[in-house]
Amino acid sequence: MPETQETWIGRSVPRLEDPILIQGKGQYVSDVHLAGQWTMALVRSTHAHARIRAIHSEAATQLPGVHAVVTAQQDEKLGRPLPGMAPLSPPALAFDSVYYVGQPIVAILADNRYIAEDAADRIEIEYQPLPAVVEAQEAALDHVVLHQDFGTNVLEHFEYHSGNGRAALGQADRVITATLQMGRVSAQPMEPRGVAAHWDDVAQMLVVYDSTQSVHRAQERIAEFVGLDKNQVRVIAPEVGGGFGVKNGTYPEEALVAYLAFSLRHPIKWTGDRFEEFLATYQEREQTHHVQLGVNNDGTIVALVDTFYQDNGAFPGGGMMVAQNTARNIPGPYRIAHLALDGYTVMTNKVPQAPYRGAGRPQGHYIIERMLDRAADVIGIERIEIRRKNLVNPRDFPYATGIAGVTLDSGDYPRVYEELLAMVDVPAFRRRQQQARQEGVRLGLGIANVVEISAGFGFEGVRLQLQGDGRILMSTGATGQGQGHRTALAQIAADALAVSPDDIVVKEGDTQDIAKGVGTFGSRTIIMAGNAADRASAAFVTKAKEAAAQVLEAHVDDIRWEDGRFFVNGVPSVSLDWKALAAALDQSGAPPLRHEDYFSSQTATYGFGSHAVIVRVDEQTADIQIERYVILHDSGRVVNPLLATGQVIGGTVQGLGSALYEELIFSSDGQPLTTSFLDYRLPGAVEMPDIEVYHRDYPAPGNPAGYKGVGEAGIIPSQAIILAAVEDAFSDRSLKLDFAPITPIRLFQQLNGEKGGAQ
Amino acid sequence: MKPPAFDYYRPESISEATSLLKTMDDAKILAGGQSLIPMMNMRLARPQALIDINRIQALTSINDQGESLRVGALVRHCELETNPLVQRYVPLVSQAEGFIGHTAIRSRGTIGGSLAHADPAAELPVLAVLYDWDLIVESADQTRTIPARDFFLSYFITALDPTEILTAIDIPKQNGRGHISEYAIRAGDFALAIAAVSVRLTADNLIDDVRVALGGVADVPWRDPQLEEQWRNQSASPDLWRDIAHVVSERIEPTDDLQASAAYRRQLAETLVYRALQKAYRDPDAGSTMEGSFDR
Repeated sequence: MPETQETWIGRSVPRLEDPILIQGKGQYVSDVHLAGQWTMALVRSTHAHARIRAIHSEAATQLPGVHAVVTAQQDEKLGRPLPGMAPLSPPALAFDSVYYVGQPIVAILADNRYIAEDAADRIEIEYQPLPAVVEAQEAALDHVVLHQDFGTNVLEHFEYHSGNGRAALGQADRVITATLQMGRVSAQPMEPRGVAAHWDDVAQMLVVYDSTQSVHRAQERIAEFVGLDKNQVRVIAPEVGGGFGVKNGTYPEEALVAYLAFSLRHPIKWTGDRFEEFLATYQEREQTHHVQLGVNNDGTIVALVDTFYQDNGAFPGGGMMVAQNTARNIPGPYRIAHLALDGYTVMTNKVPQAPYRGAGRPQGHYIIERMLDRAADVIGIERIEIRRKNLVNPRDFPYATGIAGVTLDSGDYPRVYEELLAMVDVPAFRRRQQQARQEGVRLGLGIANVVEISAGFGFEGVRLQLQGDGRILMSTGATGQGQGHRTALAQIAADALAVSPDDIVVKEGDTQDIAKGVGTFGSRTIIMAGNAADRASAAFVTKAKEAAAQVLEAHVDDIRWEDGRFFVNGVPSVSLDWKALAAALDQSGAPPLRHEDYFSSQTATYGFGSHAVIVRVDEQTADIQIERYVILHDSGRVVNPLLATGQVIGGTVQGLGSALYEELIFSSDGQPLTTSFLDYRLPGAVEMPDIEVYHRDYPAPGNPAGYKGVGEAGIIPSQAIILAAVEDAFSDRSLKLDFAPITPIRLFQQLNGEKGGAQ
Repeated sequence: MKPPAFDYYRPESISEATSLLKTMDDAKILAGGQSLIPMMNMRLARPQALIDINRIQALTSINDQGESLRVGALVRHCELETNPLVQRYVPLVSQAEGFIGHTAIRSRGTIGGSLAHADPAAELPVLAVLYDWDLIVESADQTRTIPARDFFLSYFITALDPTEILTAIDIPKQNGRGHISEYAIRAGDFALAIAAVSVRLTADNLIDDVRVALGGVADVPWRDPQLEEQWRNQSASPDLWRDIAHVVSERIEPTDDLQASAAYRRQLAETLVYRALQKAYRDPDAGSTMEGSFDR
């Protein structure tokens, strides 16, 4: 396409999905009402680790309005391990032992949720409590082994090694040592998880409405657990109100609803509530790192050595990917010649872990960014200087970080970093900081650099079909959760098909619409489905030319496609637009015009960015306010700047929550103590600054369209940058923060040398 | 998060409500429902019956009684925030309202509900103790007045008899300068600590009356009138405010919880008391300060 032609790609088209959503007309799982449906409620374990001795459910069964009280003792099939959670999967319903507070034990089916909860109250479970293990490093010692058959609490141990690894520490002028930790956090999508299912006797099909990020993977899991062929299971994700990774995997509730709807041949629905979101939706972040950074006196990094523990909760949950991804992200955008990374994914008696927005990216960056701050402080150079010293230079691209499969490929890190520093005006800030300090106000500056590694595996597809009205239906398995795919994918196809985005009807999240799909997670959809849309559109136009040739009774080689119309060469008076073509095909015996195409790639994309934050800390109250937050950010080729900027801001806000407020706290016997929004604080509009986002976009060299991921960009440096800024506010007191989030109580305790009795 | 079944009554008058209460063992008054309903949804509260007083018009008025305002128990937070009588005669109440939850909560929650719920980290109970509000309670058999300092017994426990309803509150008109400072982690959160102060000075800048009430540092709103006596006739100055703040912070006995340790609460109390006294002294019109929030 010539540069001068106006394109839809690159424009801030307002979201096509918004008119419905903001009028409250969006249909979510909880808006699905199946005739005669029974509501499912679950009795969940109140112990973190216990043997189940007996379940007394008679009183519940007798309650009017209760249709079934289901346990795995009665139906052994519910005691089978859930699919898709290798190598160790929980049963749909626990029957002999429980491993975390919140694990489902009994399913109640009743007329409504009120009655179901009344019935749940009447169920008595006799437990034999067992010692709970709630700390990963201690769990790794295997004094108490959760799963005897598995034999150890260590789910996975891996080592990444490059250069001379640990031995290289000896070459460094100095070795900086630290233990750095991140607390446990919860994604808390606005819409909790939910599933509704019924057996369609006419179609001989199990229809499942599922608040999921991937309908095709849900279809596979459900078919396997229920014992049906995949083509007898249709999974539909209606509107999904946020996912952030935690609606992407195997859950007991999904298996239970689908299985019970099939086996009882009755519609069943479960809508999780906020309490269940805290007790049973997978959680993330929690890690402890023992890090050594070897540096020379000029600030050059020599080697990084890290042994770390990922608290994975009681089962694999979302798998071992988060710890691996943490390691992949530790180098960030910096040159580290020698690496030795030793990661342990460890099971404890807590809610299982699953990738949550960032999924190892924030953890990896937290380690390198915090260690750079520490090293600069020890050597006595500016924290901004040590970053300058070690950023990967564009002339080094492609730059292999030393970790298999991670090769930085595009952008200009030093240039964008310098631009950020100029924008913040660091010398002016330092003067203001000194002045404020004399007036009793503490200001602090935090700076971090980010690489966002996205996609690089699997495939995604779209299916295009010319509708009778001339509009083009585009179906994809990349099930969105509010990102705005219906707008962005329509923009991509609109350019390729020379129509307006309004003429592209994007449909996500129905296994009936497209044969295969991987789903939306890891900032992959525009990279994967976007490139698929480009490919499919090109092939679609070729097929359309053939169809137009038939309609116009010309040879296909004589069909010219221009400005969205099909012409016969030499006959300028005759042409068809999409609408006329659709009408003509409708009347003829020709097959409908459709094309399905897939894009596969093993090449990741590498977006990058530089962030700066200025905080204002009240030493007396330990309150931390954000005064300014500036982001320079590369999103590759941007389809819709409005959506891309929204993703960066949304990610940043979510990250600031886990840097300042959010922390799931468990008692020493594994009881969750933060199970409502009273105790688990999400960032609110009042607390959040106006985040300044400036795009510095470098198209990705690794895929045809040049798209990069953007969904996780904002959340990556939050914990590192906030801790850095708060330390900087107290640089005269050499404050060292080793735990995120830095809540007011933690800051008070750090400043006053008080031990963390209150966490 | 669904409540167990309960009986529901909606009386049209106070006498109808009190006679209902008299006949029932386990009934709760439903006013704004901002604390009770979530507790019922979590099944932490399981009353057999709710008596919904929202239709009782007699509970909704605010009247000027000369020395005080009589405020009906059903007056909503948003009304206290904006009512001209409240703004004129007890401005600290209006100013404190901005700290209470969010707009949606303030448009439903009531003064009576807040006092009867008796959360020691809530703002209105602290002001009740600071300004010696009188709480008027009625049962089928009698009407009595309970001074605020006798009303709060412990966390969520008051001197209300199960047959009684809090119907109105007499709020003395402010005489002197008041200020409320609090620290909450986010806007709308329950405060980790609240300091409400009142200062009245003589013509020659001596203390005629100084009062300090604290929230979030004990099982009830905290105040020690005997302690306050010792500062009478002292010369008003930042040093005195520092002294008062320090003495108060030594006197309270806060406990550890998830959000704050005892030592942290003590420091917050000292900081907030000092800042509130200083603000009341220097800037009598400021009224309230949310620590941490500042103009961006």
